[in-house]
Amino acid sequence: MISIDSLGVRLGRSEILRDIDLDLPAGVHGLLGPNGAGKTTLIRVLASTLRHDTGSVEVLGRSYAKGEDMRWVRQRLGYLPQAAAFHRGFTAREYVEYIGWLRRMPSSDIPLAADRALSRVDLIERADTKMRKLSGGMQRRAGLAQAIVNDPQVLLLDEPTAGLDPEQRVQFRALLRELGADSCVVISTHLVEDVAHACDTVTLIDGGRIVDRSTPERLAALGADADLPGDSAIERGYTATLRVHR
Amino acid sequence: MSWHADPLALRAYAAGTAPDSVAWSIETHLSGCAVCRAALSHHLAAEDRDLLSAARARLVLSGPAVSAGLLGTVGRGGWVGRLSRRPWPAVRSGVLGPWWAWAGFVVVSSVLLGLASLVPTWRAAVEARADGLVLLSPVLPVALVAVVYAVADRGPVSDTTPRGGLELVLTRTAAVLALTVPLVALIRSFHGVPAAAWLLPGLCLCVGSLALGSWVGVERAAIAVTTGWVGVCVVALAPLRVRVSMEAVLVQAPWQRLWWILLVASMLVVLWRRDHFDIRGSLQSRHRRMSL
Repeated sequence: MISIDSLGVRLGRSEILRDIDLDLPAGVHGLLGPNGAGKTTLIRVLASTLRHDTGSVEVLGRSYAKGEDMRWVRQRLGYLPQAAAFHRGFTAREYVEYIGWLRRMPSSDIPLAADRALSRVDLIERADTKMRKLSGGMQRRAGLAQAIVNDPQVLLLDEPTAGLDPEQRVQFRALLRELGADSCVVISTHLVEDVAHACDTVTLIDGGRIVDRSTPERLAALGADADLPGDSAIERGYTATLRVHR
Repeated sequence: MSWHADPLALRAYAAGTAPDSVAWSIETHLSGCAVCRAALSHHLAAEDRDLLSAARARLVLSGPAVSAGLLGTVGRGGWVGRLSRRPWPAVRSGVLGPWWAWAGFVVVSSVLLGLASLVPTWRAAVEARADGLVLLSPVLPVALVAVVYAVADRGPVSDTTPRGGLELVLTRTAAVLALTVPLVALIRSFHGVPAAAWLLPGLCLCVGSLALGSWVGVERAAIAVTTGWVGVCVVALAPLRVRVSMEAVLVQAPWQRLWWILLVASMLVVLWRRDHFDIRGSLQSRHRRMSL
């Protein structure tokens, strides 16, 4: 569903991303790496808000070179940025409905789809509350609801669990597994637990390049040695892999 | 409800094999017992569940018909009801920002202009400044487009949507024009110049700022065009001879031809660069823009 070939993004002389090759089918895929590794840049390239300098990107079989193709993909895309901005006067329901309209959903389907999305993130009871009056965690869940309102074929989530309490994280991971059954879900995160419990594959990014492609199970196996730093096996595996490639 | 239907009877009812007397009894009971309705759903065949689910969705979408005839056509079950179940309030807020601010702006401006035309001393004061108002009026929609971009939704999510590019730009501009044309017509009425003479320069400045916006962003372009036009007006108003020339620029025939040419040229630029409204700069270009 997503195919990336020799992708590169530059800023001045420094390479933010370089030689990224990635093929992502349906399922839940984690992009894991330290802060500043280039995860958000990669997500923004996939979300079509940032143009890459070298290489090629195809989402659902179409590249972003032509405006028509880009809009076709955008209709089938869901995106939760790291810091979602929204019009302060929106209620949670209006916010989700507005994004549904921007995604060119049939207007008669939008109210039901918005309520369904809000129910899936457990926010339907606060649907008529103004966004600015919701807590940080609730605003994050409203952000998730807008990302899934159009039942996207490709869902891009940048640090989606930031601000969620432990119970909400568990619910969110269950939702991810449900979504990943027939969509391609890409999560950028620096939280190893999110990857451990929700992802089918994990791609480790450091210094703008891919250092490893693996599965949560394999990463946990690498961290079986209790002498490595980290609180869990997968955290130790993550640290060990990064050290090997640095 | 103190009793619940026998599971075997429910299964027979779902399969359509229950005797009439049992079926009637179960139907009466089901209408008041949520527990048995839930139990019944487990005995339904998959296709029946899908059928009921689809019927429920249709009912929720279409709503109850109030009555037949004219009331049914326009009432809650008719086109009024169907329109009210569309996401228009959300779209309005996303496209224009807070509706009450725009409603207040139009009402207060209209009332003030109306009062000014009725109260002699106010009318005299407005007429004394009418030249300035007339010269500034073409740029009012452009200035309001800049305001819309400052107050309405402009989050990173909108930039990744198919409607977030040119379509949203045109929707916002059309909404602003719909709000401002009546107001400008009122302003022009003080000067005795037909509103139609303003429309062409006003539209031209609007589309021109959109064309420029395909390079620098609509908000920046609208601010630049507004500032530029206000600057020209300030300079033009100083000596009387040039002021008269500015009025000619707005309404006289040879200049109107030039406005037409500029309008068509701006529209062609917008059409040619339509994909550039889908915000998708490189990190390099964004960095350059940020450091401007």
